[in-house]
Amino acid sequence: MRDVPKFVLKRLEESAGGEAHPDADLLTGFVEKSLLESERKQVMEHLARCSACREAVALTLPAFEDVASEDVAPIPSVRPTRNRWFSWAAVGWAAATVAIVAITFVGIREYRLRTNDTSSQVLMSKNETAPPPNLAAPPPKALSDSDSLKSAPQEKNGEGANSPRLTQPNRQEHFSIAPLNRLSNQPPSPHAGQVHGAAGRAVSVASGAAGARSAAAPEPSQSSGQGSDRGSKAGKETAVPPASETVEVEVETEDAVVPASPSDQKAASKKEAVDEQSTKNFADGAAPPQWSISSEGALQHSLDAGQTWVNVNPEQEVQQSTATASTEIARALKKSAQKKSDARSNPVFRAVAAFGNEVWAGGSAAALYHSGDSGVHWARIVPFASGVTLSGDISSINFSDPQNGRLTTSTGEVWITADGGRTWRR
Amino acid sequence: MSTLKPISAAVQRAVAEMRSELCARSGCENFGLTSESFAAILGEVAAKYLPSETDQAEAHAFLLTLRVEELALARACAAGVDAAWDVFLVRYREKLYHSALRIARDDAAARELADGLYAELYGVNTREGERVSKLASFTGRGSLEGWLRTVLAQEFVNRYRRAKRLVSLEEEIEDGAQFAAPEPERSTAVDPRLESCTDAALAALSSEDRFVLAAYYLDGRPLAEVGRMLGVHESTISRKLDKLAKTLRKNILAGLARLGVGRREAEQALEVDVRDLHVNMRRTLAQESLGRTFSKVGDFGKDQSS
Repeated sequence: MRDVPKFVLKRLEESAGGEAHPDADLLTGFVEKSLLESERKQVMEHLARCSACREAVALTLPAFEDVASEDVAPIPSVRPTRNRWFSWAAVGWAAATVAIVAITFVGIREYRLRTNDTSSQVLMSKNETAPPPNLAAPPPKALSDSDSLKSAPQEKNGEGANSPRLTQPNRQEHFSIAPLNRLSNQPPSPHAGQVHGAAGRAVSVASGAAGARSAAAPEPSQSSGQGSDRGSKAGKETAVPPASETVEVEVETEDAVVPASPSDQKAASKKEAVDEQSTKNFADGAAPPQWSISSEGALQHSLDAGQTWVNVNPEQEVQQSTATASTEIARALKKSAQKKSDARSNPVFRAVAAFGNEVWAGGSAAALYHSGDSGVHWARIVPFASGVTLSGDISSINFSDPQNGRLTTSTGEVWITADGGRTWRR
Repeated sequence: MSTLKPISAAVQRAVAEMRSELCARSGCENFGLTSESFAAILGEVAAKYLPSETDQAEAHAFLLTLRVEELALARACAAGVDAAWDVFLVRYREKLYHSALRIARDDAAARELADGLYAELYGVNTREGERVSKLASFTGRGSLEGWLRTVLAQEFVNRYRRAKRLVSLEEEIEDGAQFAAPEPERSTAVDPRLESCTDAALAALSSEDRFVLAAYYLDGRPLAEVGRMLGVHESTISRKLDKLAKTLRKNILAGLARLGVGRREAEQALEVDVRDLHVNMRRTLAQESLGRTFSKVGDFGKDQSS
C-alpha cells in the first residue's frame, strides 16, 4: 500500500478542532447506522478530527458485527441518500468479483487435473513388474545377456520381472516408477548416472535427416545402434559432452524406438564413453550408466560403457504402474493418465542430463522424468509455479549438481530448481 | 434530559399523530410511564435532533426510527420506577460488565468502570435536590445496549486521559524518562506553499476519507478495525487508502506546480522528515495518536449541548 507523505499526516493531525463532541446517542447511532445522512456526515467530520471520539467508537463496536452491511441505509430521510446507490454498486461489484474468483478457481483446478499434478512433482506408486519399453523389433544380440534381451522387449505389459537385459545382473531390467518417496528403497545403482551426449545421435540423425543439433562438437564415430532403429539411420558415433551438459536434439519422428539390430548393437559398443569429468560414481567406483537420446527421440541408457543401449520409456512405466497400483492415488493417476494423448504416452525425448544417480529426461509435450537411482525408478515431474505449469517441449536440461537445474522449453520458458526438482520457479 | 429547543408545530403534529402507536409499541405503561409523559419525551427527542424547518413527514419518519421500547425503559429507570429497574437489571446487568471487560481488558478495571456507570445510571448524583440519572439522556437513536457501551467507552477514554496526565514523577523516573531541558526547535521552516497545498488537498477530501486516513495512519488501527467502524470490508479500506495516497500526492504536487514549484523540489518537499519541521508544540499536544492522549477540549459529556 502506498504511504501518505508524513507531512500530510502531520497537517491532518494538526487540523483537530475544538468543537464539541457528539453525545453518546449520536455515536451509538453512527455505529449502528441509524443516523440521518446529515447527522452521519457531521459525526464523520468530527471523527476525522477527534482521536478521542474515534477511540470511543472503536471501543463501542460490538464483538461480532456484520461488516458487510453497506446496504444498510440510514434513516429514511426526505432526500435520497448516497448510501443506497453506493450499496447497490457495491453488491454488483462483489457479485462480479465472486464470479471471477469462482471461474478462475474452477479453471485452475481443471488445468491442474489435466496436467496431473497440483505441485511440482508427481510421484507414482512403484511397480515391480514393469516390462521393458515397447520394443517391437527383435532384441539385439550383441549383449552378453542378449537372450534375455530377446524376450524382454516383446513383453509390453508382461511380467519380465527380473530378466536381466543388461550386463549388470544385479539390476532390474524393467523400469518402474518410484513410490511417493521418490528416493526409493531400491539401492542406488552402483553406477553413477552419466549422460551420453546425444550429439552422436544427433549427428547420426543429421547424416540421415536434417535438423539435428548438438550441444557439443561431435567427432564422427560409429553410431549407436539402438537409437537408430532399423539400421537406416545408423550414423557415426561422436564424442559426447560431459554429463552435466544439456544436449539438444531435434528429432523428426515420434515413434517409439525399437531395439537396434545386432549390427547396431556392435556399433553401439564402440561408442565413446562420456567425459570422465562428467561421471560421478557414488557407489563403488563401477562405470556409471550412460544416457543418450536416439535420433528418433527415445531415451536410452547403457550400462556397459556404451557397448549396448537399451531404450527406456519412463512414461510407459508410469501408465503401467497406475494400471496395477491399488492405491487411491494410483487410481486417480490412472484415470488421468488414460486421458493423455498418444504423444504423451510415447514422448519424444529431446534432452537428458545426469548427475550421479540423478537422471533427468525431458521431451515433447512437457514430458519430464526424473530418476534418483540411475533409471531404476522414474517419476513424472510437472514443474509448477504460481499457478502455471511448464508447457511446450523441453529442449534442454542442465544440472550443475543434483540440486540445481535448469530447463528450457521450445516456447522459451526457463524453469529453475534449487532443490532437486521439488520446487520450481520460472 | 432537558432540552432548550422548542418543539416545532410540525413535530408536535407528528407526535400527536403517532402517539398511540408508539406508546403501544414501547409498552411505556408497563414501565410506569403515562402516554402523555411518553409523548412529551418523544417530542423532546425529535426537537433535539430535527432542524426547526423539518416538516411533518420527516418528523414522522424520524419517530419511526426510534427505539421506543428501550426509550421508555430508560426514561422510566431515570424516573426511579422500580419495575423498570428490575427489567433493566435483568436485561443489561451482565451485558454491561461484559462490555466493560471488553473495553478495559482487565477484570478489576472493568468492574470499576461498570460499577461507576451503574451509579451514574441509578442517579447517585443530584441536581437541585433531584436525583439525576444518566439514563435520562438516552434518546433512543440507537439501541440501549449500544448506548451503554458508548458511555462506557467514553468514560474509559476520559479515565485513561486523566490517568496519563497524573503519571507520577517516580514512575517516569523508573521508566527512564528524562527531565532535561526540551530540545530547541529545529530551524527548518515549512514552506508555506507546501502547507497551503496540503491543507487544500486535505480539505478537498470527504470527511469519510479523512476519517479513514486519521484512523489508519494517526491512530494506527488495522484495516479490519477501520472497516468495522465504517461498516465495510477491510479490502475496501485498503483500496481507499491506496487511492487516497495517490490522490493526495497528485493534488499536492499539482498545487505546488501551480505555485511555481518545480517537480523535483515539490517531491523533495513532500518527503521531508516531519521531525525536521518547525513544529507548533501546543498544537501538537492537542492531538496525540493511538489513544494515548485525547482532545484537551473538555471531557466527554461536558461539552454536549444537552
